[in-house]
Amino acid sequence: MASKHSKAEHTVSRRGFVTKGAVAAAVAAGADAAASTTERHDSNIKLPSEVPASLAEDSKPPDFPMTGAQIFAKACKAEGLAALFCAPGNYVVINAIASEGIPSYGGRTEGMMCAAADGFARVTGEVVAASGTEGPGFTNMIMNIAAANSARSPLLVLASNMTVGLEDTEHGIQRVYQQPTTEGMKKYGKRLINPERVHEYAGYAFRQLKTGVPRPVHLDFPGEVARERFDSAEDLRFFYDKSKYRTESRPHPSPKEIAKAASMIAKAERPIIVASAGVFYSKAWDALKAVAEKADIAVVESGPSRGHFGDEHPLSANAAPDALLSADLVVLIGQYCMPNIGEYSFDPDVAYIRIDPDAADIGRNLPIDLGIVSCEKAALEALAEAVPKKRRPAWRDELAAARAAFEAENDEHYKLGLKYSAQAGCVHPAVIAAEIENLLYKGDIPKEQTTVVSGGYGIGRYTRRRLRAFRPGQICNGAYQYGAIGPDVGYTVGAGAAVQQGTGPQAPYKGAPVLAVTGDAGFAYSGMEMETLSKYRIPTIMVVYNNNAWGVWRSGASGGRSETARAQHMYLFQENLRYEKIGEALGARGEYVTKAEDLAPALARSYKAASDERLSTVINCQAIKEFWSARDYPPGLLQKVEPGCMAYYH
Amino acid sequence: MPESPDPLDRVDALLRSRADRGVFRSFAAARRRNRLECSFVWLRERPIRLIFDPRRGTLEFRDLLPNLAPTTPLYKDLRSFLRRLSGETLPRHRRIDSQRAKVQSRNRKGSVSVLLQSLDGDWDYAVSKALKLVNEIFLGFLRGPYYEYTVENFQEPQD
Repeated sequence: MASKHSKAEHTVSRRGFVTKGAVAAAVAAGADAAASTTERHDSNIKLPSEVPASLAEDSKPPDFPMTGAQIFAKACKAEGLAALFCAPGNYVVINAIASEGIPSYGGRTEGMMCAAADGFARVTGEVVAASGTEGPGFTNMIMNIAAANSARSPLLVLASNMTVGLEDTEHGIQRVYQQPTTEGMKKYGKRLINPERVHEYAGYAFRQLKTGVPRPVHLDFPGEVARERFDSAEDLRFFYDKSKYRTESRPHPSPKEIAKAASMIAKAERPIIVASAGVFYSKAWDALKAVAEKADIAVVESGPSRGHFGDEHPLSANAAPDALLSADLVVLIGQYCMPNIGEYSFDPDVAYIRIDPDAADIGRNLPIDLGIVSCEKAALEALAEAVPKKRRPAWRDELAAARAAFEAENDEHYKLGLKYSAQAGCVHPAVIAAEIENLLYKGDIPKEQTTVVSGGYGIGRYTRRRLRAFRPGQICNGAYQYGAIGPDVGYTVGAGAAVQQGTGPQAPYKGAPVLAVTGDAGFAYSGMEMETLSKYRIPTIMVVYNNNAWGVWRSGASGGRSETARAQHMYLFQENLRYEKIGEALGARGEYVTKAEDLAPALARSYKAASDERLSTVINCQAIKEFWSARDYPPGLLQKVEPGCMAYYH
Repeated sequence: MPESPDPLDRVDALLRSRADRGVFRSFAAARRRNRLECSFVWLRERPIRLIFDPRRGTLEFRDLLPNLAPTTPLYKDLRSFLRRLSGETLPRHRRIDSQRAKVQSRNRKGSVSVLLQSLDGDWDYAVSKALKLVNEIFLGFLRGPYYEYTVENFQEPQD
């Protein structure tokens, strides 16, 4: 149940309590049981006055003389770097970036701040930076650099790296060769060595980040570069405006290829466009809609974000998985992370057109009937001109029928979920999915308002089916491709910061609450970032599905098989853990929901607290691990169909 | 396409065209006892074995689904699914015309083979529908509540 809450300016004061169970656990652990109590007590969490004061400070961009870090920060500002997420370290660089007025956020771990930067990019499409200190901070970021690489996020990874002068000596601490560590998970990387080339290498970085297919760029800053002092521009090499070191020009499609594509589309009976990351990054949603509507082409999304083709559109196949196998022509556009045969639900004889800015990737994994090298937006604008107007009422009807069948299946899951919740005395994931859908899209909240971080493992397979996107950047697809569930709260910091700042497609929803879904396993990796969300007053509803186990626990369930019985303990947690109290302890609200009927009110209270007081809430939804058993609680752990709303592999 | 006088040649060519397009990987075919026996990697890493018997007009996906006892709900669901492929619940372009081809399954000691029998000798239709049939099994039917079966038997990722 909800705790009582009160709030003063910059102060979060609430009633916390420790259960008898926690006392028992403390005794068992040999802790001072006297320190625990079943009595409620004030936690007296306060936001230090320096935080709002610091955030209210005007930016103070320096002029010569400047350090290498300041030169670099100025280049970042000129390039429109949208935000910085970091944990302390790389001090002169992060301080210089903050001084330039680039929105900057400091969190609890470099890894989760890296995930935050990725989350920010996924809902805005903008270039964003993550920074950590040399050695430990940098290596803490690795998982999330890899995740950003899989998601093709335009992430600038910055890390300090001691000094060149004492390389190899193990002098002091925290020395590591960074660039080999990010091999295979970046588009470009460089250890900066020559201080006078610091601006030039900013150009190297942004050329990569702002052209073609984005992926992380990793720069490491030895002290000699970051701290070097420059009295004037004459001390620097290649110090000139971005218009001189990179181009805004984009590859355009050849008219001949567009004509062929238009002809193939005209001849097809059931064409479909798979609109992926490149459509979002090139901001091609209007052109996409124009093409689809002109020729009645279905559109299904894939990628690390959703919403560039709204789910409510009659041509949307995002929630129409049964229709995918009917398509006779597939146009993959901006599909940077390519599926293999058998991963997307298309007919074996379907024809493929692939449109991508990278010629070297076209033809990989899926056979093509036509490849077009082009910026996605340019290609869609050209197609919008070239495709003949055509109506395909039968195809629209089939899409509508498939959507209805999918909704009916969801409703069936919900009915079962209510029954199972009552039987088991807890909350089934189908109920969670349905209540989130009711809150966000079927009540008083404008359906396009709330940006959602869609994470978790097993819970995600239920909630993705009901999360909807009505505008670009509305859903951040957490586990996309790399499959990391741990960064969910980190992604939420970034997505929430984007909404807080009103960056890019989040502008109309500036300041609105964000909602995130994660599991108990995922929350354990990143739950400390509830403190970051609370500190920056990023109003979040964090729904934690708590089934007392890793999502893959069935792999360790014995099921009568002797080879797994001895392993089972490795898949299980203590039961009924109180994750909402972690939220409370870190400055957020907490809700513990153990009955299906209590979830909707808890969601409503949490959304209100987020809207009215900018307070975040952790909603701990108590479930049981057995819900993943298709034998005991069919349908159990759900499978998925890609592309579309369920997709997260590609 | 004009019908080939030799059904083995025609079916061989039709299957090879899919391999040439990149739909199949590792395609191999051999003729034995007036049958065409093919092996190829397609939707999963586990190779698919396809036997074309022109005398019976059958395209048999031999041992397509392993470890599936006849008494399991999954097998019963599969048989219902196969029946629906000729029914009106599917859009016309996805249906298997029961006047032109018949679908059946065989379960030998828990190893399930799926067959499409051509009733009209149109091998283009038969090959196309046979492949769509397997495609629908893996990308449609098995996406149902059979997570553990697909993980255990087809090395589906568990994450």
